[in-house]
Amino acid sequence: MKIEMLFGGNTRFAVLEALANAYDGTTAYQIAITKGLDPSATYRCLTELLEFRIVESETKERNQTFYKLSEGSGRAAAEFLRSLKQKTSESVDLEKWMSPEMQAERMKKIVRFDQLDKSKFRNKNENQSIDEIMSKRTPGELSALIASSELAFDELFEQEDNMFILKI
Amino acid sequence: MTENRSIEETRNRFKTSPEYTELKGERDPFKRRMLFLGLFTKTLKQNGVEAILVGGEAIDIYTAGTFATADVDLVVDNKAITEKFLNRFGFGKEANGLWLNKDLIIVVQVITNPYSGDPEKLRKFKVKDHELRVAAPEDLIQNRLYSAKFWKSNTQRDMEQSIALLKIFADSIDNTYLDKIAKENDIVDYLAEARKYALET
Repeated sequence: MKIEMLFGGNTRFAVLEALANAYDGTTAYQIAITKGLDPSATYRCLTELLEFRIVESETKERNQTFYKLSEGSGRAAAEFLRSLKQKTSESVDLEKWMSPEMQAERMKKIVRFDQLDKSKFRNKNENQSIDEIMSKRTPGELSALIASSELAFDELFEQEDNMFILKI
Repeated sequence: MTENRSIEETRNRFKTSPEYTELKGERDPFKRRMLFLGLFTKTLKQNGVEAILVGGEAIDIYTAGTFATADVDLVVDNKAITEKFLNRFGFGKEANGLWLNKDLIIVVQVITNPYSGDPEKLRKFKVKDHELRVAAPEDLIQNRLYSAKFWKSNTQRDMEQSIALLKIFADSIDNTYLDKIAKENDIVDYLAEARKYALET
């Protein structure tokens, strides 16, 4: 049996592994890129883990959402993953690891996720409409930024045929 | 041990080279990244590695640094050689897999997945004597709108960058191609919103 299967598949295993190594949190984009995962599958997986309180999310500067393992169940999952990887590297029989006795021992440590209020852990920005998100700037601010981009681009580069040449 | 010493010697040689001195002396972070990209992708090319600039830094170039990014995303066809040269260029690998040069304040992300956009549409930039290939605006718009719709890590940034590219390249964007990739990626609704804002902006 592959250890990834214990976590419900390769994606969940890879996401948990990435989160276990990112103590200060990381974005869905970083996880997908570093682990070579499908972006939408990564996002779905993070949403599931948020619902089960294994993962916490925080919106930081520039409205970016960072994910990290929760202190309780998240860290327990990481510890489980670490011990499992350690055991497999020591060639411990995974069938034994899955035996009823060992399962019972692990079950004692597991939190009852189904009794949690999942609404508390959803990303607050998730259901915002595009109009709401786009209204965060003052009127005309984005237009000015775009106009200055065009001017700066023309100052920095000159075009020859299909090539933009940096003026240095 | 001998290999480590060799890398260290190469690093030291590079750090005293005129190219590195010029890079370090460039105070404008945008120009410094451009100079680095020109020199680095030229080195990769000389060693048989093809590189394409994608992601935030590609948008950064098209917007001349107005929509600045944190890292340089490079799609390469040989990770081992790329990382070897990053090391020689004075970069160190961080725990999150990113490469950081603390002198130049440049962060590089090496991407080995095949380039997902249309290679025929890549735009070419010339930095000194080297050609830099950059992801097409159409593919970057698709990427950002996909991120806005499904990843939601920074929807405001993703929407604004898409709108900026739509606006700046209004005359040269291949709308047929953009519509096609939007449909394939289930982001037709977000593309319509971005176009609406680009018209109003």
